[in-house]
Amino acid sequence: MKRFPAVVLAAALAFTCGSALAQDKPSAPPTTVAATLDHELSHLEHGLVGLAEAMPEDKYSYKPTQGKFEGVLDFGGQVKHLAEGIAMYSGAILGEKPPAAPASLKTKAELVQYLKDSLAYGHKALASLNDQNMFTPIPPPFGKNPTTRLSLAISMVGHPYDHYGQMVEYLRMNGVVPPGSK
Amino acid sequence: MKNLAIVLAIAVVLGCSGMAIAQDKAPATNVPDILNHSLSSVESEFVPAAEAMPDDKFDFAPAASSGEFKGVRTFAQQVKHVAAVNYMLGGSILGEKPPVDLKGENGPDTIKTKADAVKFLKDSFAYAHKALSSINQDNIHGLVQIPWGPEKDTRAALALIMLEHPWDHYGQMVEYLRMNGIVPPASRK
Repeated sequence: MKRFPAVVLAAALAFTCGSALAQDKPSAPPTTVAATLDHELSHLEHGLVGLAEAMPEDKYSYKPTQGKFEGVLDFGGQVKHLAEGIAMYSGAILGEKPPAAPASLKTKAELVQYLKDSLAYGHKALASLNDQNMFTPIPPPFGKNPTTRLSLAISMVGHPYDHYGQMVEYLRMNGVVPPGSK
Repeated sequence: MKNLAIVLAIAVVLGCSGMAIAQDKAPATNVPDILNHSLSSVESEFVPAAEAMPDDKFDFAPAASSGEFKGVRTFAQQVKHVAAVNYMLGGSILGEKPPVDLKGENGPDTIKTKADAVKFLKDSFAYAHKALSSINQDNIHGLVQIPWGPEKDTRAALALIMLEHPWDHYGQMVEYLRMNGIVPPASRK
């Protein structure tokens, strides 16, 4: 996936959107940990939702078979796993039980909405971070060793890219160029 | 006196080992330790994945006929790209030129064998750790020169990209491994 920091994107947008916007200076980089993490979550969100929406509905049950693929998640399973994981991390950061998954998670529309809702909950969790609470040991969402809100937040914006990379390959196997690679 | 010294030595060893165990369970609670812990997390899966691909498959890429794979990176290029970007981001965070002539974000053409690529990768993670160790609460929002343009961004932003970027390629390499009949080491547990 192509990466550009916020300042570059803002500058490019201002340049291509004509004189009205060109007068606006590019937004300055975030100056708090919470805002920096939130910017990264937005970038992740753009990528993940783009992939989830790019896969045709009839391919949501797709998983590769040519090779050693026993037990792997199908495409819809990857989307669900991501939504669940982001909700769990967010709940742990907020110190609360995350909202229950929707009762029905079968269609592409339901899975994409669940992913979007979890990401929105992720933004809420990151907004609660500050210099005082981010280093406090807290119970982990899984396992038993205590962790910190900052560690969880970094994992939440980083680890989903593992599945992003897998979903990119699932799309390509189905003849779809990932939106982030166009 | 001699006995006392031995007893003290044993006590120190026991004390230190006990402390080490306790520290393993306690979370990192400062910026550089948390960043390094996160980097170790992806490193501990990425490097074994790179090592798991046999020499004769190291240049594998899915066939164009098996989907939309025109122009994608080979397995070796994924490894070298992540290593090169580790170095680029590390250099930006440290405010120095990386110690390797990278020849761009795909790494030097002179690195051709699996052994050389894996060494390049491991060295890049070591340099990345050095860079993350230099970040603290006082300088984390300081602006530094980004590796791919004239703009500046914060050390925090570049550190997060450093921690995210390898996972994207790890996910792709996992699929390349499985296509070649290899279960990724981290998924064998």
